[in-house]
Amino acid sequence: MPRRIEPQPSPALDLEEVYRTHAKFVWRAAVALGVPEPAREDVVHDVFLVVARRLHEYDGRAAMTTWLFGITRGVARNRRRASARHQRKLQAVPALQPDGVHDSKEDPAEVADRRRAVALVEAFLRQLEPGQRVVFELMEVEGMSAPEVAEATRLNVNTVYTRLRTARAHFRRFVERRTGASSHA
Amino acid sequence: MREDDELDTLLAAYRRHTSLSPENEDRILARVRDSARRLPESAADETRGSAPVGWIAVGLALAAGLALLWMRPVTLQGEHEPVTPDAAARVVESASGEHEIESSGMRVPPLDRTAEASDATESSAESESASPSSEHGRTGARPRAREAVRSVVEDPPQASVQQALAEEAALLRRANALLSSGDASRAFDLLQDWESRFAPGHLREEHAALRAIALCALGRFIQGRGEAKAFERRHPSSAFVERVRSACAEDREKNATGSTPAGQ
Repeated sequence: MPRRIEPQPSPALDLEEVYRTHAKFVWRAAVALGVPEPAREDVVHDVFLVVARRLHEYDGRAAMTTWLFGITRGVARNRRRASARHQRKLQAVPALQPDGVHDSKEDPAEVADRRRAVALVEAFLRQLEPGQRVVFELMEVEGMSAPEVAEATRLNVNTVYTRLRTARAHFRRFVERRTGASSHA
Repeated sequence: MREDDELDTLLAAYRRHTSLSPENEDRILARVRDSARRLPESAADETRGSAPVGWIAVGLALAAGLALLWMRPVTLQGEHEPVTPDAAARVVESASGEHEIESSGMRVPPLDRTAEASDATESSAESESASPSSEHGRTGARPRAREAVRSVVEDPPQASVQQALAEEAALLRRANALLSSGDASRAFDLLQDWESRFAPGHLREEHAALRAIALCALGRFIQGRGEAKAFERRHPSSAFVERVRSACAEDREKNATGSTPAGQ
């Protein structure tokens, strides 16, 4: 298999190309960094706006995912601060958010099962240490390899494996407790 | 292993729920294209690394400023103002966003708009008759803000705060829903109702965003864009910024149907 060569930055590396290649990664990174659902589109948009302004600065020495992850982390941090201020005001009432999209063609029982599954995983991820959450989401959910995650997050590969092992074990125990508790109810 | 199958099933459901859909991906790209087109030319110039002479001038000015600072100590509050609770209150007033201030060594939460609102309604007569601050020669607005700061340390009745907040949120939710369904005229009426019932209110940011959106939706682009720009200046990190920008974009004006707003 020929060795994959990272393309050198050039004027031809345009915004749209970067977006099409990496939008899903940036989205998953935003999820992994704890950006709430209503803000994810805005975060991804803001990240690629930074890319539009600074693509000329990218010199190809680090992987594009490394660069994008750093930008996403900064944007997500600002969003979290704004969101926290907003949520402080709306503690007693639901926020002004658009309703989620419901697929009316799906079987209600399947929808209910999926919602329970999603709620369980979200509850688990919320209480994970942030560093473990990023690794767990990027590997277990997004399907990235340990070297890819290490490169994106500037972590040592061994650290990535350690965090993943810890998070996986924790996930197993968490699910056992929750599903074991519900079956005894 | 059965256990791993269960975990994989859970993760698959989560993956499906949280993935970027093709529709979302296209929508975000359209927004990015639109926003990137509107990036100011100065940003483009900066990215090209041009005008080194300008940067040298800026550097020299900064160096001169730093030299002056070394020679002449200044306080953060200004030369003649001691750090007092009143001075802290003035810092809060001049800030556009929320700030946490410390008064008399006690940590207080961000300026509670309930306290400010209740002070504005209950003591407005008192504030209007207050003599202008001798330190700045300003009107009663400053004494009212100082009262609001002091009243933060007294807990407002939580039930009434929550009730007011619930009513505000319900009204703005209705306005939001009307905007989403295309009835900008009724949405605008509700927003005016909010102003008469709740202003300054708890949800000023949300109200300001919806008002700018409603004005542009009604074809009142001059006023709407003015309010949109003011909103962006005051709340640059708001979750509503992109929605406000999008509602008042130039291509929207071209497509406007020219509906007449109620009461205009």
